[in-house]
Amino acid sequence: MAVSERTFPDYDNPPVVETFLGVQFAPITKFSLLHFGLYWAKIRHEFPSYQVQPPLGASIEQFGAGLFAQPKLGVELVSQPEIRCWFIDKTGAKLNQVQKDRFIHNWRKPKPNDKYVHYDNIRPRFIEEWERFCAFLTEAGLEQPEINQCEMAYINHIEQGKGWESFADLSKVIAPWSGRCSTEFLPALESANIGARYLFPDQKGRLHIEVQPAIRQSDGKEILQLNMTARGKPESSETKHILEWLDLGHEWIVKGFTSFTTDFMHSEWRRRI
Amino acid sequence: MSHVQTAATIDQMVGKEQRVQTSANTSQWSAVVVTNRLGWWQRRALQSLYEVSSLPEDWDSYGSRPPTEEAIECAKRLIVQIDRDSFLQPRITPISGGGVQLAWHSGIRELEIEISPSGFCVEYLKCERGESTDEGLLEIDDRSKIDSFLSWLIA
Repeated sequence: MAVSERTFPDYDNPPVVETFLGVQFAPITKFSLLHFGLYWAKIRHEFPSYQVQPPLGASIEQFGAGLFAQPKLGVELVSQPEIRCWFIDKTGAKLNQVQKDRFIHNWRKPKPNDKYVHYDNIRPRFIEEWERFCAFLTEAGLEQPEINQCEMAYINHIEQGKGWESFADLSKVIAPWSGRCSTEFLPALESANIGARYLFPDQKGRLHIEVQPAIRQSDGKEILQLNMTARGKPESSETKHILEWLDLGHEWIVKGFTSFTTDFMHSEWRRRI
Repeated sequence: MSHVQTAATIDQMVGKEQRVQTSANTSQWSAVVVTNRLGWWQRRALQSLYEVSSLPEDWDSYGSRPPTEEAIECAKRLIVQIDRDSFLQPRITPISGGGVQLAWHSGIRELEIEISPSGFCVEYLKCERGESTDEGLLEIDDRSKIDSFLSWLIA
């Protein structure tokens, strides 16, 4: 999409370093360790590296007072080790994550100065990878996934020295944070974690916002990591409904990000729209 | 044979240190260490560690490679699992061949911990007035032993 056609808030230099789009589905019971290898054979020419990771727990948004998506903890008897596989592309910018009940496509900035890739470009890539995964399942004689959640997230790294120096400056970054105490008792803020959740209308999903201090491993810089995660259930497992939900999630993340951060930071990031 | 996926095995998979956000518990790819529960000295140590990790090939002009990912990961685990908000900042240096060394100095005492390029072999050396007093292998998750070394250092 051309810049002139965009209607959501847009920035020349946004702090986003990673975006991922994913679906969670009922576990494909016959998906075995061998299928990871068979799937890799299909995509290896584009995703030549792999890593084995522990599986992600299931997260399903619940609605009603005080109910949020929580990963389930417990002891489970399984017939073979549960794993998640990462398949990494040649450029180090794209990743497919697969486990028996998840498919996630990540994009990240390989280098800090690389250009941010817009949703308009990531969306078709996700669908292409998702459809390729579904085609593989069919070919392998496995069931088609019954999707119970869509998820997308934007990971933002706000570097120290670019709009904030210490936690006393948090109110310069986070719009709902006043930074003012009621009395003089408390000293300067040493650190803070912020977690916020917003419901989509008609229980279509939820936006999770998390702000945490962190050190980035690629260069050792101190950052505020601002994660915007949208999660919810699409109308059906059909691609058009997945896309519909992802478009909604994208709208909430982009507009929510602009609402949750200050005008001061918008100038830092050179807001255009 | 069935495998029982217990909390203990999950701990082994994700690493015991829950202060560190890893790919093990999120869909996120970009690696960060969440620092809200780390002391100032740990944050500075991690920054030094990641500076050392970005050394170029042949950094010592003898053809050595920079510290390996495994050695850096092991050093990170060591630093973040120390449960002391205030402590001396270690000097972090690369070792020829891809390893990394952490060294603390306090008065007449010095503690060195050397991590091999594979991240599997960790050796320690305790010195007083420049003379070795104890040395051996260290389990990176042996928190009580590491804590006893740090207590000895500042005693």
